Amino acid sequence: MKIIDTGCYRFELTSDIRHVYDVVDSLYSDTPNNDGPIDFSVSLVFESFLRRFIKPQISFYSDQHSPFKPLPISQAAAVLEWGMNWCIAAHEYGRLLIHSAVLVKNGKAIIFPALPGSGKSTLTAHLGLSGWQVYSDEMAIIDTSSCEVSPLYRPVCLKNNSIDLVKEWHPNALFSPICRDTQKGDVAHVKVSNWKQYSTLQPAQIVAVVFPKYSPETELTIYQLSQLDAFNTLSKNAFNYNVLGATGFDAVAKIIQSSSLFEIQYNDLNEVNEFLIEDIIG
Amino acid sequence: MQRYRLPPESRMICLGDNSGVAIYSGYSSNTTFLINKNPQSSSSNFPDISQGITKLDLINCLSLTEDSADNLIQRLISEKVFWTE
Repeated sequence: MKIIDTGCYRFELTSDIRHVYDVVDSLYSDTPNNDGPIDFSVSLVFESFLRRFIKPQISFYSDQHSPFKPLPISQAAAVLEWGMNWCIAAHEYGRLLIHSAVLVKNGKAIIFPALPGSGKSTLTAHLGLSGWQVYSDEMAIIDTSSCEVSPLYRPVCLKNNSIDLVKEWHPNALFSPICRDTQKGDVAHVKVSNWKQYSTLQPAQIVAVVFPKYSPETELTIYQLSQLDAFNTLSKNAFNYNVLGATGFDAVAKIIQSSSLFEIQYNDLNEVNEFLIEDIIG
Repeated sequence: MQRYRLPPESRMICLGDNSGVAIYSGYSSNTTFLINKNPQSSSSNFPDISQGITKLDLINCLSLTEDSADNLIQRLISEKVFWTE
C-alpha cells in the first residue's frame, strides 16, 4: 500500500503490479509521510486469475467503482494517473474544476483550457521546467468565492512526440517509463517540481485565460477573445459546471470579467513564454 | 411594457465588453449565450433582474431591432428561460 499526496487530495493505493509502486515512488516519494485523512482509496487489480498470465490486463478501482475498461498491464502507471484524475473530476463538488493547465509567475495565475492535441501539456512541461510554477497540467481547482486557483502536486502527462521533445529540451528532468500504445498513444509523466517547492505555493488569483493551439505552420498569433466567447468555452471546459449550478455560473462570470482573454496559435514555446511574461504577467 | 421574469436561482449578466448576455436558468440549469452583433453601440448597463426584463432592456444590451427582440423573447419563453408575468 502507498499513500499518494497531491496536496489537495490524498490517495491510498494498493496495486497487484509492483512496477506501479516504483513509478509512484519516483514521482511522489518526496511527499511527507504523515497520517492525514485519505480522500480516495484506489487500486489496480487483475480482474481474473487467467488475466494475470494470458494477455494480462488490469483494472482501476476507486472503492468498489471501476470507471474504465480493463487495460493491458503495460499501461498500469498511466491508468493510475487517469484514474486519479477521474476521482477528482467525479467527486469534487465544492470547487470549480476546469479542464486546463495552470501556470503561475509572480503570484499571477494563467489558465490554459484546451482540447487534446492543442499542445497544452508540452507547453506546461516546458514552461514548468523553465521557471514557471505548475499548479496543474490537467485541471484548475478554483475556489468559487475568491476565484483563486489552488496548486496540485502532480506530474505532467506527455504524449507521443512531446516526450522526446521535452527530454531533448530538459535532459535532467525526471520522466516515468513510457507506456506504449495507450488509447492516447505513447504516454510518459515528467516531474516538474519537488515537494519542497510545492509546499511554498499559495492559492493564486487568475489574471488571464489563454486558449492555446499548437499549429506547426503558424508563428505566434494572438487573438483577443470576447467575454461571451470565453465564457461559453470556459464553461464547456468545466468538469462540474452543471453540478455547481448558479455557483458555477457566478464563478466563471467573475473569472471572465476580471481576466485578460486570449486565443493563441503557436509553433515556438519560447515565443509563447515571452508573450505571457511581457503582455500578461508584466 | 411587458416584463419577463427568470425562474428562481437564475442569473443574467450583460458582459462588460458588450459582447453579449449570459443567462443561467434556475429552471433547467442550462446557460444561454446571446451575442451582441454591434458591441460598439450598446450599453452594458443592465437592470436588476429581480424586477424583470423588458424588451427594451434586450434591445439596448444586444443592439437588436424590435422584431428580432420579439423573436428572441418568444424563443426564450419557449425554452422556459423567461417566464411571463
